[in-house]
Amino acid sequence: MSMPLRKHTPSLKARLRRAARIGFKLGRFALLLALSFVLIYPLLYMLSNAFKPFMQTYDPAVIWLPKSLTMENINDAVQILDFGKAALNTLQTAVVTSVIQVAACMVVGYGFARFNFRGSKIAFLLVVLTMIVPQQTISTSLYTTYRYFDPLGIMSLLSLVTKGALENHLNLIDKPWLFWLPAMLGMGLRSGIYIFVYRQFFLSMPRELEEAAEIDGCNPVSTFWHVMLPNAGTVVLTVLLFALVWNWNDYYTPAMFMKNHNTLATALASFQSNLQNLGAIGGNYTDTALVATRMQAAGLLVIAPLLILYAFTQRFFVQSVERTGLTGM
Amino acid sequence: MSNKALDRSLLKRRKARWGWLFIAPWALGFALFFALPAFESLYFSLNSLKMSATGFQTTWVGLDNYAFMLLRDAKFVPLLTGELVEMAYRVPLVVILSLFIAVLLNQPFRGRAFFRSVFFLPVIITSGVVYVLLQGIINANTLSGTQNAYIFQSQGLAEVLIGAGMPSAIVNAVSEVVNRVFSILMECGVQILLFLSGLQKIPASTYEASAIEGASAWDNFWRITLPLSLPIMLLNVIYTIIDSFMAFGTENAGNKVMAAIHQTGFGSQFQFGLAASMSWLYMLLITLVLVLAFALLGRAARNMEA
Repeated sequence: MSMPLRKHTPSLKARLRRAARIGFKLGRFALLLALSFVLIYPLLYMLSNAFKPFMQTYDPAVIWLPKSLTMENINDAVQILDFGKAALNTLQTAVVTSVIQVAACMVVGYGFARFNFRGSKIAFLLVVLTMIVPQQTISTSLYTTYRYFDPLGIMSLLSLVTKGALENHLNLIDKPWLFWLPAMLGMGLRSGIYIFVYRQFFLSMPRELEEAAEIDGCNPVSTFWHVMLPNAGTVVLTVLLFALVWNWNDYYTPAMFMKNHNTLATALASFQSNLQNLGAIGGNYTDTALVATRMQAAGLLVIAPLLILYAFTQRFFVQSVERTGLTGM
Repeated sequence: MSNKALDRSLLKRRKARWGWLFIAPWALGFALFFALPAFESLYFSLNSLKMSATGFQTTWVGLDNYAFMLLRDAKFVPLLTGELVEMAYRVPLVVILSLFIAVLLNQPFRGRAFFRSVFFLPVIITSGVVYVLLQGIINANTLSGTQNAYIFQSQGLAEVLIGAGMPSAIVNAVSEVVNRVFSILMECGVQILLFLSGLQKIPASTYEASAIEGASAWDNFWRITLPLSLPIMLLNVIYTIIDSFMAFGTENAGNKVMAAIHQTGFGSQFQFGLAASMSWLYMLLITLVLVLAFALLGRAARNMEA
């Protein structure tokens, strides 16, 4: 049966083209694999070291897979990070803040997208400005703002009315409110980007949707609540994911304003010196292999929640950015 | 004015009021947490600040801080130009590599989902201290970078290679390349994401039509993919510029200008005034670079859209 087919051997040109296509596929795969390795390597290195008894670092036979596993590194890291407390703080400064940002930036982004009012263009330009001014520029003044918080003189007024029973300022330093208040008012970490993303998304909503709601007697707030919000699922999730990641990893804000309450990021930053301080009171905490394995364990603990989150949401990432209309053409 | 037109203009005015209502929270936040601190910092930059027991005292010095860092400080100007030069080659590299990877990841092949999730991984771990710490460059308690904690990067790889009996010259070369690729790839996560989502919006029929005309994949890239990606390329260039300007840094790694500003303001000297003027100059520079990027790429992108 197959004999007749053999008679038509493909031409040289067709065979060359086929070879080129296979070559391209192999090359593409090899390149992607090599680049992926570069990206995954640090994680593998981290994983391998976090559970490795540190003495095995000196064993030339051990490269990736430790001969035995230990929880010692993790246990030490949990203690030195003060993991429970730092995680609880991070829950407040990162997770709660992200949820607030998601809601607040949505309202503001909607305002910029669907209403034409005088000054809206200039105001939006100012949103962009907040994206390009480095935190360092204003952090000195922000410190005094938080330390002696007296918005629009309200606290001074209250103090006057109550004849000094209330102090004329609030001290927000070391309190999670210094994350939550700016987040509520659209000024949290990278809020400008989220407002921008929401604006792009709501711009892409059809006019008819809004007009139909108005005919049904909706005012702009109820249109927003009953018509726009139910359609904003993907963009909300996108912003939430990015906000979680960026707030979780943020070092600058908690390091500046949360002197006595470590988040996971600041605890990780001071991990090595804390480890070496332990060495000063006895114990063998200066051995480089020991320091390295403990630090890998600490790093793993800090990013593990994000990695788990990512494992569940990674499929969603590309689709979500696509549906936000950010890259609309 | 007819009744209808009057109605419409009334409606318009009422809608404008609603608009302000929606952005009111932001306006308040902008005033409290941005504009007031920013003006104060601008004022600081024209003053010399002295810390004292009761707080700090300001002395008006005019443009002295600016003159000092531009003319007399031997370190700041080289740091600025260094940052600019580095950005000038990193930004194109990051954007082009991202487009290249996005094009590859947009093709259908087995294992694509896996590779995609790997290339977006940097989005999770690049921001902030985790990344800097993982690079093994930081001793963040003092914010003075020392090359002490060999956590990430290729020090580990080098060990493995030396352990496998490689000559050290080759090991060094390999680590160097891996480090460069690693640090560039680590900046590409968001950009790949944006390019990819843009590429998926190009209708398949566009490519089919050009295939009928006998165009090769190479032609398609230059005539369809690249031009249609220009608006996203502009977005990516801006994102990359801002990201690299804002990056966390220490004396030895990351964004050295940021580290210098922080060190000046919060180091041993507490020179808030000088630090403020440094960051204002830096911000001016960022704005100039962004305007330049818009001028170069914006027109091309707009031509495409028209």
